[in-house]
Amino acid sequence: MSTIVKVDRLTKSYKDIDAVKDVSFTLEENKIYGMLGRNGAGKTTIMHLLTAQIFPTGGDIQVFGEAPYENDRVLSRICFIKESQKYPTTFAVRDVLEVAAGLFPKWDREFAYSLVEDFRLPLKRKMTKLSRGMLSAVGIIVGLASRAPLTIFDEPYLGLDAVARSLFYDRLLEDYAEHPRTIVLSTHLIDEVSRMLEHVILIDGGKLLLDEEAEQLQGRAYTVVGSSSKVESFAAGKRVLARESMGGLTTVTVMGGAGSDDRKQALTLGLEMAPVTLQQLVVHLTGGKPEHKEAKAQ
Amino acid sequence: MVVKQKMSVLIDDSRPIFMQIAERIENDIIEGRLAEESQVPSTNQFAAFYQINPATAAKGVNQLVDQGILYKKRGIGMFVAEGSRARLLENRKEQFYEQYVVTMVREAEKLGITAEQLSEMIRRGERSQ
Amino acid sequence: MTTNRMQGVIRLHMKDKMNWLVTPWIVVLCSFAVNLVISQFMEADLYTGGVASLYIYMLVIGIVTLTHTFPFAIGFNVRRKDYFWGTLVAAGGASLYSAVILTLLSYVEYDLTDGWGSGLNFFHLPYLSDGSLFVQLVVSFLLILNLFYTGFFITGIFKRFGRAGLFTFAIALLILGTVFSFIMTQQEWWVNVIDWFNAHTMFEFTLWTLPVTVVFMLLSYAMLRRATA
Repeated sequence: MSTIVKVDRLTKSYKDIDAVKDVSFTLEENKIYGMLGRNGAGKTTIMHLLTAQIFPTGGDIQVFGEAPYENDRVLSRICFIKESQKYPTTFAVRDVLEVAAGLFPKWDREFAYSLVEDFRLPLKRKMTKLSRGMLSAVGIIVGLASRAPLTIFDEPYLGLDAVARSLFYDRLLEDYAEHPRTIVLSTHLIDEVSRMLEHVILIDGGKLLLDEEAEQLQGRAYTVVGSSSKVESFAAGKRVLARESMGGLTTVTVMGGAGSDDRKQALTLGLEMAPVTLQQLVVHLTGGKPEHKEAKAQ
Repeated sequence: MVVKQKMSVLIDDSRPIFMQIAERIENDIIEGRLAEESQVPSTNQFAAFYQINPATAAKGVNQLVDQGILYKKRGIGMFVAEGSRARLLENRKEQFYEQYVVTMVREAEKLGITAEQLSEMIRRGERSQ
Repeated sequence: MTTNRMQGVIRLHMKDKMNWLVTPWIVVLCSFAVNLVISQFMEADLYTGGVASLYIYMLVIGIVTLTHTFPFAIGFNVRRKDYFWGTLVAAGGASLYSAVILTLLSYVEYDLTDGWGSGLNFFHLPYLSDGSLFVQLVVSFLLILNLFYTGFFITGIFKRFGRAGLFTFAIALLILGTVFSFIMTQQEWWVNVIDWFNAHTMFEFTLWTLPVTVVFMLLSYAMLRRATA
């Protein structure tokens, strides 16, 4: 697998705040990545840095083997769909698609218009008159139809309902299968996308917290329930992410290899074991309650 | 546009997804939904069907190829190997013994159930079916 | 590849033909219509500066374009360089388009209809429209382009240095302007300025705006290179 993005000790500071600090990771060709983390963790900043829309304070970025700034060989191969994308006020949906067709070398016009039908977008309507969900749909269509070798979706579906989101996942997977490319998904709805991800990069407080294959993360953490004394003896020496007690019962969420050794130990102690989803793991690791940005936006 | 009923509910998070994909194919073969020498859906079809990453689906399928349950026809696709149902059944029976019988016997011992009582229980279980 | 994406930027601007090509002429023609009606009731020839609305409109387009299209283009991964050159082509084209129409109308007004039959001097004005048709074309083109880049430059300051930067620039300009006109008055140099205009044709004056336009362009480009959408 060839590496297409190489980020080395990347730092971005605003006055006295480090939005991104010493982050290093690589992205490989034709994989689906999840870039996860809480609001303001620095994900969006990293994506803006990757596409040279803002400038790093320190560190190095190589995309397709070159620095991205003012580099058309790099920039024309990236499509970055963001929640805050601005459109000219006079533009209708059709105008955006036509301009995008001229900017992305691999643009597939037919695919774009089939997606417009799927998402039931009014082509002639002005961008300023679109609902939040429709605006998101335009971004999704541009991102998919661009077929850019590096396609980044940052919170692509604010305001979209479950049906439209499912449609997005379907089209993404179908098209990805036929036209493999590197995809970076950043979202709060981790449960919905976790099975599509091949690799997870977790950012918290501007720092890299986790950079692992999704499969390895699955089952990395688990929850154990049982009588307090037994649970405590099980948890001893393990990395406990969360602990809750009620009466004589204790629940601990443990980060570990989840190897058969742990499983056996829990079994012999008569403890119940339950897997922790990626979303729960992220919540535990970033030490907060799950966000409800989606709900708020609607 | 018709939204497909998502089969993602058939997958859970307790075990690696590729293993669950392999198991689903195995079950389809054992229960006769996939006949020997018939073509298996492509990894991309699996990926779309379960809304999972195609690489994960491929891993599950490839595991069965490595075991000789499935085989590749160049340019055509993936097929169920001859005799794979019998082999799978054999494997499953072995697993059944390991997973259920051994644990059952161990638990029975703990509770002081004799072998005679145990086989009586099994017969009773059969009757109640 | 490079030219492709520059063309993409030109296409992006041309999606807004209304703004570039139609609206300015609606404004000018409205002003023209009003003046034409008035001139019917006047015995003497009517001289009017209504055509200035076109130039002012181009200044506004220069200001607005950058705000409207730069964040969009950068968001779609266009190089700042391609954005700049694509915009230059679009602005150049639009300036030429309006300059050609202005010149033609000036010809119709002055040479063919003698003030639209009612002594109206709208497109052809003394001193400003002196010279051959070609000279008039160049004068209009350079002036329109100059105003576009004046606007573009102003928004460029805002894009690069933010509200505070634009504010600082405005204050500095105000102070400089005040000091300048104070000195001019003190030294009684205004007369020289009028003399200068008398001694030079409009064409010569317009040529002097060219370096100013180029400086605005270069500064805009330098600012865009470091601007974030």
